[in-house]
Amino acid sequence: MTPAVDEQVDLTALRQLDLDAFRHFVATYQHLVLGLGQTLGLGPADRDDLAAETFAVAYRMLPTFRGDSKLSTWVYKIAYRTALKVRQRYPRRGGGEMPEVEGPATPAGEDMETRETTEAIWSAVARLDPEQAAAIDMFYRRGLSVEQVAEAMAKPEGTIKTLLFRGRERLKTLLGPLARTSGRYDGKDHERSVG
Amino acid sequence: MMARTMSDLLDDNLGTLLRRAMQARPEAEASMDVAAAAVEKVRAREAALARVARMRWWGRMLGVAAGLLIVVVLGVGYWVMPTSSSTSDTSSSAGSSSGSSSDSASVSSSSSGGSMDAGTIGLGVLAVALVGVTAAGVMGTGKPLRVGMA
Repeated sequence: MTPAVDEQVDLTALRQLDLDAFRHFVATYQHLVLGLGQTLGLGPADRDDLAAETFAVAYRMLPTFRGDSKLSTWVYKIAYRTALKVRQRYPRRGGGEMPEVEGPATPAGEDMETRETTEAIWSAVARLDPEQAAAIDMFYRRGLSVEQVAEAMAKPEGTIKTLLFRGRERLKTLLGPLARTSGRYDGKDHERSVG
Repeated sequence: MMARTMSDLLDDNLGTLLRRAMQARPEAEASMDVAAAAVEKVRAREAALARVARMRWWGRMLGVAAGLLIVVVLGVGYWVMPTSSSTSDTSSSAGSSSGSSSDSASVSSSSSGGSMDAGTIGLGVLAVALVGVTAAGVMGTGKPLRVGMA
């Protein structure tokens, strides 16, 4: 489960580039950055590179951080820009087979169908346009509001809503085979009840 | 009551499933000390920036030194050239003519007239060179160093 983000970071010490404060800052927020890389389908080495580069930029910019936004949103903003650069190294994934989801499997106790569905969603999200995937990561995984996502991605709120909508539309296409086989997406029962 | 479209139903289900699936995703772990790697990157970048700044400073100094050398060469040339031309004029006049005083006077006056022209030109060149070297030095130091990432 996603850990809660601790905003109780000593900003004064951070601005003075205190190393202990910086270590605490990295420990608090690195899961956001690594998670974003994971959602974008980056491999472990690139995720590490993304995290190191993101926090290197943050380290240089910390003395000028004014605290206008939440620290987590600010970190996301740097991570997003850096992730786009890292992701450019990857060949474009337009179609074809879904990428393998590496890393730990879904939590134990879930039935096979749920696990397959969940992993298919992760794979499908990794095949989305990076902007759509990043918006989905922030909105659905981390629970950021549209306003916060807009701030992190430096785009208008309307654009974020469009990105989320188009991302869902694309996911419907990518998850089509799953919907046909599992019946989970067909909505037949629901249609009968509201029809 | 109008039946909801299949698309609406898919959209509703997908949103819920998407949120559930994304939040259930286990966190990725870093395989290294991210803080140490970040600080290391910052230090490496600072060292690279310092190296570039040092190289620029030496480049600028070399430019100024080259400019000064040109000024010195022109200056020396200015002081040496009129003397040598006057000497050659005098020796040629002494060798060719029997030495009438009116001829010597005319050579001498034309020689000093040529020296005045060369002096004006020389001073002009010196002034332009000095202004050029000074401007190059000032513009070089005022240029901001823009290296780094977004």
